[in-house]
Amino acid sequence: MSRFLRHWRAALVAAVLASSPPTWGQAALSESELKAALVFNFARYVEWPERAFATRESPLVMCVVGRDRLSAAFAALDGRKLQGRTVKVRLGVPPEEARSCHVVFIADPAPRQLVSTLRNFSGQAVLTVSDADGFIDSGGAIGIVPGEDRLQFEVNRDALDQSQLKASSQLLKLARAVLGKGGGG
Amino acid sequence: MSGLRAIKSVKLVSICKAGKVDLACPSHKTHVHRFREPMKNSIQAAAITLAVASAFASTQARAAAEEASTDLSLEDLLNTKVTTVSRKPQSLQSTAAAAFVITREDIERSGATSIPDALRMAPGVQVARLANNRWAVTARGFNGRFANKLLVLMDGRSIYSPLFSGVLWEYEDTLLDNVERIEVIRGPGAALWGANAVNGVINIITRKARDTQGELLVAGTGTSERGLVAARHGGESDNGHYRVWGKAVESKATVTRTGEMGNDEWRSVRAGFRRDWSPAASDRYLFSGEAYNGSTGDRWDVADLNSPTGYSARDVEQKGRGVHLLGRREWVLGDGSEAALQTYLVHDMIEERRGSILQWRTTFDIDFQRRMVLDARNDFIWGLGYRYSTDDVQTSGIFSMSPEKRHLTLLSAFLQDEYTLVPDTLRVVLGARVEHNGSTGFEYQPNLRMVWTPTPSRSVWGALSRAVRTPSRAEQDIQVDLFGTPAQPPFVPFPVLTRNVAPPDGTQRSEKVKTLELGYRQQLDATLSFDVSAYYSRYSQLRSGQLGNQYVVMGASPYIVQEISPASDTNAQTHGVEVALDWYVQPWWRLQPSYTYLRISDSTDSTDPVTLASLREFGASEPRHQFSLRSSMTLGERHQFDLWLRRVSALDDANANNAATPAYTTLDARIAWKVTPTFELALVGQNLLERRHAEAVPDLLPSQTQLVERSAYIKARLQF
Repeated sequence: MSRFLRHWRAALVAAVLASSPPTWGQAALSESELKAALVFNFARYVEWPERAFATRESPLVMCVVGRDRLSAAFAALDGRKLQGRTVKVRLGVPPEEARSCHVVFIADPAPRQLVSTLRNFSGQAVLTVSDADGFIDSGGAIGIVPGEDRLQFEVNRDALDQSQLKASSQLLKLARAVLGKGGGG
Repeated sequence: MSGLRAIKSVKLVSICKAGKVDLACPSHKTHVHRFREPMKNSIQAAAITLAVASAFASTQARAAAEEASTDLSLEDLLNTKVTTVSRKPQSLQSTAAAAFVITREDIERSGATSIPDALRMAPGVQVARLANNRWAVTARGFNGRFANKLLVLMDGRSIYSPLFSGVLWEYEDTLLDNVERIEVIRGPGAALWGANAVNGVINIITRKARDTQGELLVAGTGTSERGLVAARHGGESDNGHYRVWGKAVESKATVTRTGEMGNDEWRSVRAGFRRDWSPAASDRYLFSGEAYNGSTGDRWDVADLNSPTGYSARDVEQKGRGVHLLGRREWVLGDGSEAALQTYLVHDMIEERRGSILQWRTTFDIDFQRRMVLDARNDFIWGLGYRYSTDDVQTSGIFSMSPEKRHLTLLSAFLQDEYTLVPDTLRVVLGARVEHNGSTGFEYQPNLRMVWTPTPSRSVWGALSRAVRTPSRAEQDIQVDLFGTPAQPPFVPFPVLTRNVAPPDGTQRSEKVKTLELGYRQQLDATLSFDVSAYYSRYSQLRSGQLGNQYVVMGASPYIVQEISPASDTNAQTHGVEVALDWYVQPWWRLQPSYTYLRISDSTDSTDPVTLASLREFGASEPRHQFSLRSSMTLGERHQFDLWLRRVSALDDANANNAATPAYTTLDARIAWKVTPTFELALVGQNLLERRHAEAVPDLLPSQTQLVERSAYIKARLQF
């Protein structure tokens, strides 16, 4: 009897949880938060040239270019510490104004706009990250790509070099694939 | 039902036990731990508390997740399981066309073993399996073995056969694990993709070599697909990656309506490679190639004046071999414009073993595209293409091709401007393509599209376009003995042979279509999205037949020849609606219903009995309603359970001597078990509801109707 009751209880809990509003599900498995956390972590493994920061106290500016699908997740990173600097998050930044950012996440780009968006950052010490399809092939530095049931990332080493960014070997080791000189992976 | 609940509760526990899911878990933990106590006292009270509490829990969970996320290491994040990894290209939301994407995961979970079977997932697409080795595939109507209004490309290479105008699906296969996605774009796509994209374009895109690293071994066997073996190896090379792969399949024959065994065994072996490399940050190269050798059986009803029925069944064996090489470079120029240059070479052979047809063909294609973002508003793409295809077709028996050799030259140029009227909100796409081919001369194919995206999650689009279908080599030059009719003295003193003849050179015209489309897409929330499109198309100069000359051939046994010559004075209209829904009922359970409505009506001024009879074929290719429901369940870390229910309504009777095709409802089921992280077993049952059913009656070449049988297969997959 008690076993039956236990099962019944479990079923009830499950039923109630299942019927709760969809926001519940979102909070539990938010892909956006995971992506924002990944971007934050990439920045940990990248070294910017001195000139990228005005002073020792200058914040590390993280910008989201494009639509606001991931904005809330990024907003939550504002004020956190990274490499001894405070992270400052700016949302909905037009690409041409994002050159002064240290990290740029390009959200939801139309494939046709990707190259022209990226051009704004050529030669700038900007770490470009996106979840766009084929991002590193278009000249982006780090692309977040879907794995089987997890997220993975790919690195374009030439793009990092052109931006004078140094990525740690740890980052390259964790990447699913590495493009650029020195061979693939 | 109780089983389902049990699964839910098991899943709940498993989520929170999996240590890596720190991001996802706090909310679950909050629920489970906090409310375990009160439940001991009163289940009811607990349930109420839970329901109330869960409303507040989401904010707490979010805060907890945010705290946790930045503290996690990169390794932890990469190990965090995401239940709904969105694989759809985001741009799909704002495309001004009826587009649908079938991903590799969709293919795997559908249990489909061939590309045509996978295409059944797309709304607006009609797929009928004519036999184990033959399919009829189209979009928005006019289906048939050589359905000629759908252009199909594999990695940018056209697999639309210039011989028959259509895709010979028995030769167009690949290792399905290599497929990244299949983009199905319904409606005329000619402005961008070229002639013959009348009712749609299908782009089969294979994975980059860097996404297929390591080893893959697949082996399977079943009641219909007797055997499948495939292997793939991926590695690194200078500045990039490569893969080599091979696949062999064999399937057994099905039965005909009368219960006889068909002659539709299928054997095919293919191997290929792909190399991707990138010498600089935005300069990438692709080089790929493939060779295949396939053999399929068929049974034709061959005109036979000595037979009391006028024809006799003949088993034939059709062999095909082919090889292709493709190279592509995509790079960014100094001024920020993008360029792509692609070229491919295809050499293939199709042979009917008894010699009724032997075709050799070599095709060379080169295509250049350039994209220039002139300013914030104008995004130009232009392109130039050249194709040269030469063939040698030898025929005997019921076929006669004249001339034996012909070459086709196709020159094309297109220009498209995507103009942003209101940034992020309103775009207009204006494009046109001009082509010149040897048989019908210049063809002009423009389109106008508009997409309004009031919010990122909603879009409304419309399109007006014109496309043409150019006549195939066979339509221009082949003569076919269709069927015989016994003598009926005294009115018809001799037997009659009905013969399809080729038109005089240079009199062929292209089929034309003008289409108006409207669509609406909405992402309702993170779990539910839907897509609806409607269209109206007007076709003109559709090819049909008309009564031609009649004469008597004297000899030992004299007979009458009744010629049927091509006509192109038929018009048709189609309209339809396509709806697709994508709903994550639960993070582990996805439902994808879709519905397709299609109507074809025809009109002609002709009173010719043959023309009128050929109109019947339109009705025979029109399933008025199609319904599909896919359910994909991910049960824990290791199990998947998928169901796919389809209903297709009846097809009219095209030929007086064949019956109509009744409606059918069918169900596929798949259970997959990840035995270890590298080894997976899948058991798939197909067409489970009925022992056998017909999906369509073969057209064009008279042959017997074959049935699709209930079947099952088991597949093992080792990847490391």
